[in-house]
Formats: sequence, structure tokens, C-alpha cells
Amino acid sequence: MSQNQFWNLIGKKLAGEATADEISELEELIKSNPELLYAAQHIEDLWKLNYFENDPGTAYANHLKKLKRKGIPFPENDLSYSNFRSKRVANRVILSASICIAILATILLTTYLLSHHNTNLEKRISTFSTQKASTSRLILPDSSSVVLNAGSKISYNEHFGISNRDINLTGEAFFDVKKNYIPFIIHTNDIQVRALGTAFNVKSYPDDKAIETSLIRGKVEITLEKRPDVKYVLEPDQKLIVRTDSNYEHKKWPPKAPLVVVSTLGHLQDSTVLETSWINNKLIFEDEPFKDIAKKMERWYGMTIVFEDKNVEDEHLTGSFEKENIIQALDALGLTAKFHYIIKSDSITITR
Amino acid sequence: MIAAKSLQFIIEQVALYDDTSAYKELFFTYHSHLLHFSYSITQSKEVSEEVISDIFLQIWIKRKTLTSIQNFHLYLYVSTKNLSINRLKKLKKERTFLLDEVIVEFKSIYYDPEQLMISSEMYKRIVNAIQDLPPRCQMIFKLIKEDRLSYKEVAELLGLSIKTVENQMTIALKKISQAIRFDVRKTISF
Repeated sequence: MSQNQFWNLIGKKLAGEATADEISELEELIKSNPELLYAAQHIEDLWKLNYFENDPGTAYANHLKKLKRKGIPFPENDLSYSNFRSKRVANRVILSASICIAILATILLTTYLLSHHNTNLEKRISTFSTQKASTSRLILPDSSSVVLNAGSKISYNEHFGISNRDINLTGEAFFDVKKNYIPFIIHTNDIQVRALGTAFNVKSYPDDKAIETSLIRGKVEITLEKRPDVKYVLEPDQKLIVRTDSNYEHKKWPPKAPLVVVSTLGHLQDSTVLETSWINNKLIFEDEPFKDIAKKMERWYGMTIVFEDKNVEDEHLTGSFEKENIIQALDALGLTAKFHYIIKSDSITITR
Repeated sequence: MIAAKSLQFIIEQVALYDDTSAYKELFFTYHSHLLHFSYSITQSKEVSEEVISDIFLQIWIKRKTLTSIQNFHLYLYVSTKNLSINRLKKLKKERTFLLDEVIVEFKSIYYDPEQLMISSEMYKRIVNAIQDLPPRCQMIFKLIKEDRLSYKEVAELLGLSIKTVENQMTIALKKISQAIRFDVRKTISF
């Protein structure tokens, strides 16, 4: 697809010139090329930026002096426009007052509810989980959205969106958090991620040796359960990797690396972000050991994969899957790696 | 920018009732935008301030005829352009105005980058991408984004075809989007 058409349509949309047909066309283009969304989002943010000039009062005063110098009559009157204006101002004042009262009422009501329902906080908890080989999208009560990857689970209590925005996560999820004065905090076993209106990915599977948080937009603050006084702040396109297993070795990990590492997100030649490619139903891996890829494939396809040969396990592979079934995927991998596989009812054994 | 309905109302107030508060509102709304536009042509703040003042002088003197102007928003920009070129010729006799030599300032983008919530590296890349655009392209992008002119109005203002305006916008957005992607791997340890 030529990118020109995409940017042409975005331009028209931002300028308010796009027809309904063009908007539909744009939506279709995004659906079939989700990697463009990243850049498009940033451009839209850029577009919304505003500039407020310092008071042009001086310039105006000079202007009036000029009128006077030239002998042009300029009455100092207060006409109906100003009445229109002060009426608008009055309306605005009444509106602000009613908003204040509404806020005050909400605060009082919430405080009342909280003080009377503290003991019941634990009781009503909502839980969402996915099976293996599936992802699901959901909208939280505060309008934030979550995409859960396979084999993941989130839960939150009934006061979510009212007095807290705490979420418990096992597995992997992509969050798009709506800006809100209540801090959005995700709790996993080892880390806590705090966001303020951002889009990011948290990966914390219990059988993984490391937890990863990848930031796409906005800012997040991460603290370790074990060291709550130390905060790591991520900027967009960075990710934080926390090792949970001190024996974890990875080719790219600096030797004798400490527990926590900040690195940049992987990008492919287009702007697809490696760490969140799963959201668009693509499984992408770059120079990773087969055993790690197998783990991803296990969740992706919902089948167990067992290795009988250590050498095959450690082979490094690069590739991506989208619509392939597991047989096609294994065959594709078999083009570069040397192995055989045996398929049973719900498991696959990999041998030399 | 004032919404179309309110703009119409303000113009009527000035034209029919000599309303000076409405006139002031007009000045306050457009002063900054027209000033920057004029400045990109004259390269002199002093001269541009004069230009804007003269434009509004004419608006006051000819206020009774304001309601007969078809597109007031565009009219302001066309007048500013013509007067600015005129003053430039007087100022620098050897200099003539070429669209390809304007220097465009993107106040809205340079003003408060914190708002964007992006890394300073990426911000620098975006700014460089914009500044690398040909001046004509920058001008078109700015007129649409900051001055809220339509493609048609920009075309008329600069004497270009609508297709050209459309193409330039596409080029600008594409260049900026390329600045948003990169593939450097860096690892920092705590």
C-alpha cells in the first residue's frame, strides 16, 4: 500500500476536509496496516498543540493611539456586544458554580460511601481472564481499555474508577489509560506500574524469567515490590525489564547485569513495535532462542511444546507469524533450523 | 479562533453598530496569527506590527462595508499578505517576495513541548523534520494547522492549486511521521 494515500487522508481529517467516505477509507487502511497507528497517533497529538499569545493589549493601545493621531473618530462606547459578552460571562460563572457544587457533592458522597463500606471492599471483585491462544479486549469502568493476551488475567474491585484505579495482573496486557486524577496502578507479583494517561504494555507471566513493561505513549512510573522507595520513570519508546530469576541468561543481556534494565523498544523496518505486535495478531520474534519462541508459541497456539534436544532449544531464530496454524509455523521455522517434530493430541515434541 | 457564527456576529456588530468592544475582540483574536504570517514575509517585527495596525485601520474606516465581504477570515490573510509584500518592497528594494524563501515559525509546536509527553529526542527529531521541509511546504502546513485555513483558502491565498496544497500537506505529514520511527538500541543499567 502506498503510504501517500494514508497521509493524504490523515491530512484531510486533521484539517476538517475529509468526507465521510474518506474517513471510512482511512479507518479501513488503519485496520489493515495497524503499524501506522503509532505515528498517526503522535501526529494527532502534535496537531492538538496550541499556542497562547501574550496579551496583545499593548499592540491594541498603540493601535488606538494611531487612530487618534490620524484624526479618525473612535467612540469610547459600550454597546450591545459587550452586553452579550457580560451575559456570556455571567452564564459561565453560574455554570462554574454548579460544577463546583456537583464536585463537592460527589466528594462528600464518596467519602460517606467509603467510610461505611471499607470492610466490604474485598467482597465484590471483577475478574477477566483469557484462555490460551486467545486475546480479548475490554473497557474498564473508567473508559480505559485493556487488551489481554493469551493466558492472562486481570482483576479489580467494585470501587474501581470511583476511589481507586488498582488492577491486579497476571500475564500480559496492553493498557490505554484515560487521563484521570485517580492514579492508575497495576499490581503484578513483583512490580507495580503507575500510569497517568498513557498507552503501555506489561508482561508478567509467572513462568517467565523477567517482567517487561514497554511504554508507547505518555509516562509511567514503576516501583519494585521489594524496593518501593526506588522509582523508575519511563519515557515513550523505552522499556523496563525486571529479572525475577537471578540465573536468567539471555544473549543480549549485559554480563553480570543487575536486576533491572531500561532499554529501547524494538522496531522493525516499518514502525511496528516488537513488544506490542501481539495486539495486532502478529507473533514476531527477533534473534531469540527457540525455547523462548516455543513458550510464546505455546500461549499463541494453546499447545504444549517439549524439547528433547538441547542444541535445538538454544538455536536463535527470527521470524513472524500471523495467520499460520501451528503446523505451518513449525514448517516455516524448519526452513532455517534443523529439527523434527511429533504432534500428539495437545502437545508437540521437538527432536533432532 | 472564533467560530464562524460568532465571527459573523462580531462583524455585524462592528459594521452596523460601530461596536468598539467587538472591534477589540476582532483585534485580539487575529493579532498574533496575522503578525506571524506577516513576519514570515517581511522578516521584521516592526514592519509587521505596522502592517497589522494598518489592516485594522482600514477595517475601522471601511466598517460599514464589512458585511459584504464573502470570506472574512480569508480576506484578513489576503490583505495581510498583499500589504506585507508591499512594505517589503519599500523596505528592501532589491528583495522581492518569493514563497520559497519564507521563514516559518511554528509557535504552537515550539511553545510547550512538554504537553506532548514524548521524549526530548523524539521532539528534536520532529522539529528537525519540520525545519527540513521546503519553506513553501512549511508555510502550507502552518496555515492549515495554526491558522485554520481550509485547503481551498490556502490555495487562493498563495496562488496555488488545491491539488498542490493537498500534496504538500501529505509530504509534510509523511516526513514528520518518518521522524517518529527509529531503530537504535540502547541499554542503560541502573
